[in-house]
Amino acid sequence: MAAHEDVAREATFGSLPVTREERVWNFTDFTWVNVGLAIATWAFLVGGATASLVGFADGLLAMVIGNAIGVAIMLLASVVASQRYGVEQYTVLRSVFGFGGVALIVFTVILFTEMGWSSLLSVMFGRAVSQVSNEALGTSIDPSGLAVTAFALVAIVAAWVILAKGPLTIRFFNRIVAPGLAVLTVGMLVLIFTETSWAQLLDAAPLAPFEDDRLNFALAVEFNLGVGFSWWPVMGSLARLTTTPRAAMWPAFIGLFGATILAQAVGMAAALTLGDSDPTVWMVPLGGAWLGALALVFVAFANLTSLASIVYSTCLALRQAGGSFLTRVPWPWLCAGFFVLPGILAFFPGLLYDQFLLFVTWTGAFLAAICGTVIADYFLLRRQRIDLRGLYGHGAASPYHFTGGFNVAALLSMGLGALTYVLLYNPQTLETRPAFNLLTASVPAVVVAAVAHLLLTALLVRRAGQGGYDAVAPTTAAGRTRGEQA
Amino acid sequence: MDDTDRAVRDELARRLAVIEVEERETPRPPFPRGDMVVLVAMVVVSVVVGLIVGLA
Repeated sequence: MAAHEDVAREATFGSLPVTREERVWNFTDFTWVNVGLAIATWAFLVGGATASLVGFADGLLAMVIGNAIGVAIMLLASVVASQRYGVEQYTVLRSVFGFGGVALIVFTVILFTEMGWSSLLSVMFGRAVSQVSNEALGTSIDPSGLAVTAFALVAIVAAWVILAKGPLTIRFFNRIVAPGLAVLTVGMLVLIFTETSWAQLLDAAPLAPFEDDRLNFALAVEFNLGVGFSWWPVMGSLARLTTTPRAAMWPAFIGLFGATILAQAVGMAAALTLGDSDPTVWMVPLGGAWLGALALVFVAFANLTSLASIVYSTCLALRQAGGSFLTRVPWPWLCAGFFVLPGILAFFPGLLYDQFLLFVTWTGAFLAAICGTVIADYFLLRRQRIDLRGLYGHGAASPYHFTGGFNVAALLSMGLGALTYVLLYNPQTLETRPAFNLLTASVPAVVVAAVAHLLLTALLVRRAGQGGYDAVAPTTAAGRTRGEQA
Repeated sequence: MDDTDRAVRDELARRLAVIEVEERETPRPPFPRGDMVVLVAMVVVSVVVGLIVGLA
């Protein structure tokens, strides 16, 4: 199949349920997919940002706690339903938020989140190439200079070309990048410990902490919770191709928790020993001029494939949520439209890159609230049963039409969850409540969104006979198993 | 309705029919309760450790 046909087919039929024979990933396959996803350049960014708040021991603890909670909640809210029904998650979400509600979320939270990540990766590409130029050609390009903007724009154009060629090209590049980044991570670890002792690493002071140590630790945990939630937009679409619930959940946990922690910890160690949170600054001091420059070239290349991967899944989601209008927009134009904002942001290289922690925590506020709402809906209200045919029904013919296509209860619950987050910790002003140091902001946001959804659904939705909560037609839902009947 | 819409509708109908047969023969199981308990236990342990460290 030609590449453009592959894209067209995925964009047209990607939201349809997969049959059993199309589920091709077993436990081992999906573990590699997730390890490849986890060991990416963004893990170094997270390690560097964590090092700006806390030292190595506290940072490692914050990474373990934050990622364990964030990844577990995120997986329950994305992987489980998509795996069972073989449907990508934005289609499953129709049963929670309604058809219009999904479009609202995709065109606000998801679009903002993924455009932000795209901007970060393109600027990281620009800074990596600038560092190579400074080292090899003796230039002195400023990290926020116009040359970085120019290189970031080159990254965007290159990613667009890869995207236009389709998923086969992305897969081809990922097969080179994922093992290469694993080698780079191990190489960095070796180089760090040839120069630095374990005791020196443990004694290294955080790079830019606040005065309150407890606040620093709580912020580091919150930041890593946000990192765990940030996988949510892409996981359901991958999990639908797995063979069993266990082949979906645990490989994702191994990859996004285990492998991520490893790469983040190496990034944190590099940041603490070299005194800079920017991964593009580490390579030359660690590896020397030529090896460092080579590593930077590889980091820049790796950013291109990461960029293409996240934009690919986001553009598919946009197309599926955008109805007939976006279905008719040619794929290259849709991808080009997505890159407009990251292209503008490239002219302000420090805006998101130097405020990485702020960006992750803001997006975490909304993703945590979405996860709480989804978990309450799927596990508690629907008992893991969805009307598969209803996900594809039109208008009032679908039980998931709710009120004009919007489940007001779910959207309000999501809003209340996000509000709880901001009340406990405002990422913009850094204002916190005492409870934040103990509870974080994400965990209460998940709980408030879930409880609000249970209450509001009883008050607003079930009374109106909407949402199909009381009856799922036996011929269209996934069949009941013995475990469910018991 | 254009050719693309028609192709999507036909493909959806075909897939739903195949899935219904698959479900009748071997229903897809829900997420195992044992796995859920392990996952929740891991989260709870993480929260407790976080609380202890936070209080300390």
